[in-house]
Amino acid sequence: MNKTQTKSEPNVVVAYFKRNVGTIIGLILLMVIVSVYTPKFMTVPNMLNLLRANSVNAIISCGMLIAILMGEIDISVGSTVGLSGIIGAYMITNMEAPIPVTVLCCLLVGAVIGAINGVAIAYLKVPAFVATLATQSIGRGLTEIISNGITIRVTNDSFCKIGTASIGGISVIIFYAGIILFLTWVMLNKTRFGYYIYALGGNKVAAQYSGVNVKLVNMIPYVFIGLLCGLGGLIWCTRLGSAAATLGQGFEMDAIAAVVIGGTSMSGGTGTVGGTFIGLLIISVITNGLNLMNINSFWQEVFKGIIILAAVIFDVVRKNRGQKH
Amino acid sequence: MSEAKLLQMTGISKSFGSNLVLDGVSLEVGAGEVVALLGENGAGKSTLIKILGGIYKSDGGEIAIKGEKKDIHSAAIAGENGIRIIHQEIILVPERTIAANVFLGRELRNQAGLVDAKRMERETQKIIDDLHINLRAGQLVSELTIGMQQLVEIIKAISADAQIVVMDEPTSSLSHGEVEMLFKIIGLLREKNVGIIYISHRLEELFAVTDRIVVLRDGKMVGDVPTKTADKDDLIRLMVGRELNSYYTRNVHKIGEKSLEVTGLSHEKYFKEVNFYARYGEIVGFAGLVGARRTELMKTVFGAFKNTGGEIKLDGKPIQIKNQRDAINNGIVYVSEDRRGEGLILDNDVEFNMGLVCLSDFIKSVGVNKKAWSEMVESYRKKFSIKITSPKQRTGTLSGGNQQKVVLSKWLAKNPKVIILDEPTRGIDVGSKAEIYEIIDQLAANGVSIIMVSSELPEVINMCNRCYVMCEGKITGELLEDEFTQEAIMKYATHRESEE
Repeated sequence: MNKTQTKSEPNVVVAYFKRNVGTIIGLILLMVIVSVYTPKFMTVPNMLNLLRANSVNAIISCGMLIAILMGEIDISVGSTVGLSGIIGAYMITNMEAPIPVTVLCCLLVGAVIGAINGVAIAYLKVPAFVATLATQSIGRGLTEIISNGITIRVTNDSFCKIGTASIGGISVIIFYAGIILFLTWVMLNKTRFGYYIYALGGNKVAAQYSGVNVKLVNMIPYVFIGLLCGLGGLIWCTRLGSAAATLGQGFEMDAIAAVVIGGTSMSGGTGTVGGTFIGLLIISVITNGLNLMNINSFWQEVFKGIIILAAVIFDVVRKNRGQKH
Repeated sequence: MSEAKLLQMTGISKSFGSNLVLDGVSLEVGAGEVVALLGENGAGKSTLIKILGGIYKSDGGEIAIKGEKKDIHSAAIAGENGIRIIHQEIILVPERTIAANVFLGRELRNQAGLVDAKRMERETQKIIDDLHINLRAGQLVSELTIGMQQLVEIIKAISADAQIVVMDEPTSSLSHGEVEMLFKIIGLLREKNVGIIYISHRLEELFAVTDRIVVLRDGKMVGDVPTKTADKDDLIRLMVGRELNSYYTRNVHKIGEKSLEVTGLSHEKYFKEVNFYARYGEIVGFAGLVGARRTELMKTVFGAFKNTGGEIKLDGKPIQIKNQRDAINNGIVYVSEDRRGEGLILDNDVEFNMGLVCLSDFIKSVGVNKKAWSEMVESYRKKFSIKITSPKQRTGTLSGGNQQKVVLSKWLAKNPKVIILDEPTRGIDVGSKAEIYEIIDQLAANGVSIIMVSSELPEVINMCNRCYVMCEGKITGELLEDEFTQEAIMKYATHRESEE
């Protein structure tokens, strides 16, 4: 199993399929099963709908991928999306702030939460799970306070365009997701910073002894994750035209699921954007398929949990087998 | 034999792969006898002990306890047979009481089937009082000094009714007073007819506390003498007197100016006021026993540990080294003794590992110069004949020798001025060893300044131009090439203040 996408094989596509053969087969099987049960699945409008519905998850998953690559986790993502969304809605509606200022604040809120996570984890050595659990609670609490328990409507139509516009009939947020996936891929595969993230996740001490500034390399990704959540919040509140205190709830689950199903090891150091992309599609197909089949949404939670567990067990078993060599 | 000895290990052999670590070693311990096990690092002491403790399975030979043959194939069975091994690293649960630790895994219960903490505390306290130690069974282990924690291990052994107690370097982290207390306790155990195997490098301790000294060298028993008639110099000779191997490459090089110069370097815990220097084209050895703090010294020079004073000069100019990056940017690199923990990212491939230190050569801002990167990997693969199936092979799957070559390549790609090699041939097969020596010799020929920390005396003697000997955080000796003898080095390495 190769860890990085630095391969210089003549055929990149073939290499990609080889690397992700298991998940790709899984995805195809799923799609076939869902198609058999509901003919509405394999249609262009449904596919576009599926991609649009999962765009924010794609963006968040890029952040989650990096956290898990470092051998850590960020469970504050959902609450940060909520906080950013509610602040966006509050500013544009209640304060009538200009659009650029509102957009900037949404992103900034995310970056600040991310920076708190990053400093706590990288410099103050708080375990990532605990640090992000704390900021998750802080973020969710602030969201409740700002919303005061009621849904804030966004009435500024130009602001809403950020999430509702479309290009050539395709929702703009699909493009956002595409751009973020691409940028993350570039960062992880084409920059020194990306290599350092893999090194840090693989063996932090060895990375440090190799002269990597491990604290900084550990901290910055959390700011990046925060920014992505800020963007996620912005997209949600503009797309829905409103923001409620529950916005973003459970997003961390979907992101972790996509990353883990995509073959990223929970112990860090191994995982790819390409794999995560397939993980995202699998999660999307499950959600979409179950919706089309009119299965109670609570069952989706159950399925996602089972799939995460299965993916992690698979990874652990593979690792153990590798160690016996 | 008229009377069965308490412990009788006969003809014990063990190999790892093709490496014969123990070759027909026999060891006897009588009841109430304290037997010292003496030998250099790698002589086979710990392997022998691990076989006794049921951690390793011997390839040949047998173990008898009180004349009865035993098959000790697990640690639990060793325990059932009254064998207790007190390891160098203390294995206690710090946030629990002494009593809880002593009874860990065999907790006493009351009639209701619940843990009877009071009775455990009472029984523990009884042992403590018997040994005349000033401890309370209800104290938390984390409140104790390392030395006292060592005593808790002994209490644990007594409480479990140990017949044979093995102490592996028990005094390595004890203060002078604690050592005396330990000796007193050993005396008490002896009266209780417990057989003790005592492992230590410190000869004077062996003279103080043991009845018999068994010397191991290269997996063979080379001496078994009563302590009363033993002579210190003889013991050292027995310990190190092996033939020198011929696989060293050593050419005469021109030695240049001073490269690294360290004055008065101190560390909070490990060493004080250390002075040394290295020169271009020179191989400087650092010899000493385990615990001499050589690795700690080198890690401090490399910026991994914080110093509490002293000066580091490079090419005559003082430099500031606050972390590993500062050292690397100044051209000082450290090849760790812990290849897997500190040297490599095992889950990643060879190419990745080799490029990690000089990544900026291949990635300027965005985009990877894959051509330059593969060329670099290929050039080292050829130069050091590294056996890999492809640059994408996982480093974790390579042999020790090949892993070490990957680590060396990673650092050499940075063109260092000073390269610190910490135990460069540890865990490496003989063939690769010779190749590593050749690489080291080549580097010196190219004018690189080499510092080699090594616990293998023949390696130091055959490779170095000059060597420092350390003992307990101090440099106790400096020897030139023509003064190198194993005896001279061992003398400085076992040099303690009490002997002055």
